[in-house]
Amino acid sequence: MLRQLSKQLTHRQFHTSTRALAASLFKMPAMSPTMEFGGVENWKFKDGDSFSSGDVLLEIETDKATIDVEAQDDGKLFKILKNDGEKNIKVGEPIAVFAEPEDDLSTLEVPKFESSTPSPSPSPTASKIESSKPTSNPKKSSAPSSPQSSSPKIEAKEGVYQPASSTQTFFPSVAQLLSEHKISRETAISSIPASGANGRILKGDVLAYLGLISQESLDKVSNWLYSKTKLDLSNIEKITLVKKQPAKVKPTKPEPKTITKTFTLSKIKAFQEKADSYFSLQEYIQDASQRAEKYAYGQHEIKSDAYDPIFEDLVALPTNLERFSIELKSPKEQQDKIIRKPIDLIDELHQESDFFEDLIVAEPIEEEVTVRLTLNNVADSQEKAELYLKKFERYLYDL
Amino acid sequence: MFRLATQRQVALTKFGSKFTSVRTLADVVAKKHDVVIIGGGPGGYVAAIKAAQLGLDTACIEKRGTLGGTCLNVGCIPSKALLNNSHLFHQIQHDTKKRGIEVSGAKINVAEFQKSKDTAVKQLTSGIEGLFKKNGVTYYKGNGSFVDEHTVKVDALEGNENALLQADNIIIATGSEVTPFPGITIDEERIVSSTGALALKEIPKKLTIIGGGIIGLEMGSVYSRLGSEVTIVEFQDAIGASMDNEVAKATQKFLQKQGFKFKLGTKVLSGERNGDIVKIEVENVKSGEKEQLESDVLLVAIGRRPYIQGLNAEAVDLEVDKRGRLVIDSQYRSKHPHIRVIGDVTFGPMLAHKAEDEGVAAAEYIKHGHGHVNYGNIPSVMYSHPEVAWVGQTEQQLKEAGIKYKVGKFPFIANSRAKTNNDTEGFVKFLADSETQRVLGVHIIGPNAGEMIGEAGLALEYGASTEDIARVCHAHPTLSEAFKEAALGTFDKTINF
Repeated sequence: MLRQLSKQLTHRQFHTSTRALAASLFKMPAMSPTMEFGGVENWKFKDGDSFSSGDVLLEIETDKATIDVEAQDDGKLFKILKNDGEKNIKVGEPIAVFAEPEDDLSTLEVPKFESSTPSPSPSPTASKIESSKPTSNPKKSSAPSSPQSSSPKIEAKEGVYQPASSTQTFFPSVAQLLSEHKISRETAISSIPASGANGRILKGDVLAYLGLISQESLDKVSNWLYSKTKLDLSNIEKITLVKKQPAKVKPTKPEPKTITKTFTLSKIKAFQEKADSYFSLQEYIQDASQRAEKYAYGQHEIKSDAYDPIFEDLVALPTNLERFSIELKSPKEQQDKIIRKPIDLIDELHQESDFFEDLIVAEPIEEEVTVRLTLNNVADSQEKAELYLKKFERYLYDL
Repeated sequence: MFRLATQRQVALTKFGSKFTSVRTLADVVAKKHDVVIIGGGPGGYVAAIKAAQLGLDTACIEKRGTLGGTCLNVGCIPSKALLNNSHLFHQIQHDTKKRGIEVSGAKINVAEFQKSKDTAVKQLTSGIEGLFKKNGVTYYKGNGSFVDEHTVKVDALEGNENALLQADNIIIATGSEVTPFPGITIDEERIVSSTGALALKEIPKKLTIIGGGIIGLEMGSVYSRLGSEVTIVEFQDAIGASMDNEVAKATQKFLQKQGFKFKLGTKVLSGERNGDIVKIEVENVKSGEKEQLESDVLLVAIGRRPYIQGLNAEAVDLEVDKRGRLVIDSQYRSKHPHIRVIGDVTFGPMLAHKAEDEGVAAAEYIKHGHGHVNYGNIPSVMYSHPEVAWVGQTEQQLKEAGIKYKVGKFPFIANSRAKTNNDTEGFVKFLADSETQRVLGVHIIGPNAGEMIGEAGLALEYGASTEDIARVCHAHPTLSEAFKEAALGTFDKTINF
């Protein structure tokens, strides 16, 4: 299967590039999701040695443990870049160069790794310790991410390509393509740069890897789509906010809503007499008002099967919130309104009769009691005011 | 005259403990919070709940008196109640007989019709207040304004207490308001904005709408179904704002079939109320021909603009652009990094779900330094019947960018479920990259298109190709099979068409 792929890729190479077949870079693998740096404990092979799939190539030291790294395919160790004992090597940094088993090492070209390792930060879930297989696929030299085309390549912007996530479930299209071309899951994850979210390999990534479409057109669409994911904050024409004069343009408050209702005095009096009240008329009206108000505040108007006291308690307004203020105008007071005339001593001496009669000013008595409610801006003030008026009327006219 | 004022203070002594905790309005409470959010609309309330869930001490200030913002109170939610019920009425009138159901005497009770909408709104807005309690968000009812970079003053609504809030982080989510039409005075009775259009007391015989965007077309749908003669006046040559051109044309066609009249490429010169009639003068942009229109109600729906009234943004020197949007960076930060701005009051499409996602992202930026909103994947839905929904790129955008694409289309007339429902207007249209079949955009006209667009969003988010959709098993018989078939159409042959 490798042979077949190799042929295909080599074939493509000759078409797209004049460069000689180069060896592939072996990069510091991520041995755990949290691993950022690692050290080379010791190499089990020397430069020029051949190895076969499954051989332990080297031991890598992480912050947690020392782990054996096995070869995934047959190959040759062309050159060790990081020697035994080197520490703090960033994940993704090349540590050796591998070649195909049949390659002649004397003619092989070492890839320029400084320029061909664009992304040294793989996704944190790149590989699991148990299944850590280093990428030793020599055909990686023709991986689509290496700059090989003579036409100017569209720069992959930050974030478009990522190392493939090793935990992903492949898209049906990706699985289909990989299976058709006999590419193993491991190979795909280690060698196909992913342009999907969170290191997901997309159908286009596989097509470009296989050389079935051009990398340029994939880059173009990927980069364009990527640019669309960001809010366009370019070319903002700023203007300065004018500082307003503090006292100016205060929004005029809407006129508070009022409700006015009048009650016939004669009816109240008639009822008061019937009730044989000890109160004066004024006290009587005031008391009725207070009782009605208490009723209104204490009452919930909506009588519904769906009424749920717990929910209501959560969402209802506090009961002590003032819904409306009351102004009462009652004529009774006018009768008590005593205006004292300046009393002349001589008059007093002359006057035999009870002078108090003269001192009470008999103004025409209004035959109505008026109540005016000013509603506050509270959701249920109208409702409460209406309850109040209903009850007030009841208290005044009949019990 | 003698006046007797029965004030609360008098009542206090008589009514006992129930009233003893009365607060005086002048009290100012000083509080400190990790995050203060100004605005309780879809952006603000979601940001508040998310921030609280992330363990931040969070407060939200709202001056409307109810939470939910424009969307819940006078926007998306009430309009959907009217749309759904008017559709039901229209169906009973025109669609039942051929289905073998005979109904007679169906009529609209406008008061009940409106009440049903109000009930939905009331339940939803008070529901958010419950969510605030559940998640421990402190709710201030009043106007929030800047005192300095870390201090926000709350001028409370009557019955609540004023407060002075110290905040480590502030999120501005003050939303937007209706853009007025220069020279036309909105009285919300005969000349209305979307707010007034939601609460008309009677069904107008003639309804004229300035603006052929989503708001105008949805409100037009409501009253058209209830019997109004609806005329849309649009300055552009097409309706539907950011819709794909082909979809916009098809939308215009089916609305015309429903009785809409369109005056495209037409400028409104004036609109004036004259008793119970509104007189509108329009002019054809190309020919310069003028025309007088008469209407019972005129709806002004030309768009919305950012709203920062009462925020005192000048106090902290916030920057705005020439369209009034508060200036931000890619992490929603204003020039003060701890003051972030989300939703309609800043850049991007004015959509509730965009604001919601930004609210979550802003809270996550505060907590974790990372948040996610994909602006290439924000769906739009118009709730006409059939619905129109789209996400991703339109054909005109792809052409402009020079991206090679393939179109896959499947009409609902060929879908078994649509056929059995006798509801076959519309199609699913896929736009996919010609080489990789990566989904670039999906545009749907059809029954329940707004629900179906969710699948397209998922595909876009994960970079799926149309093949990936076509290889997923879709239930039979469902409308979603049309979705699958249209995907198939971009790279292979459709099976059922």
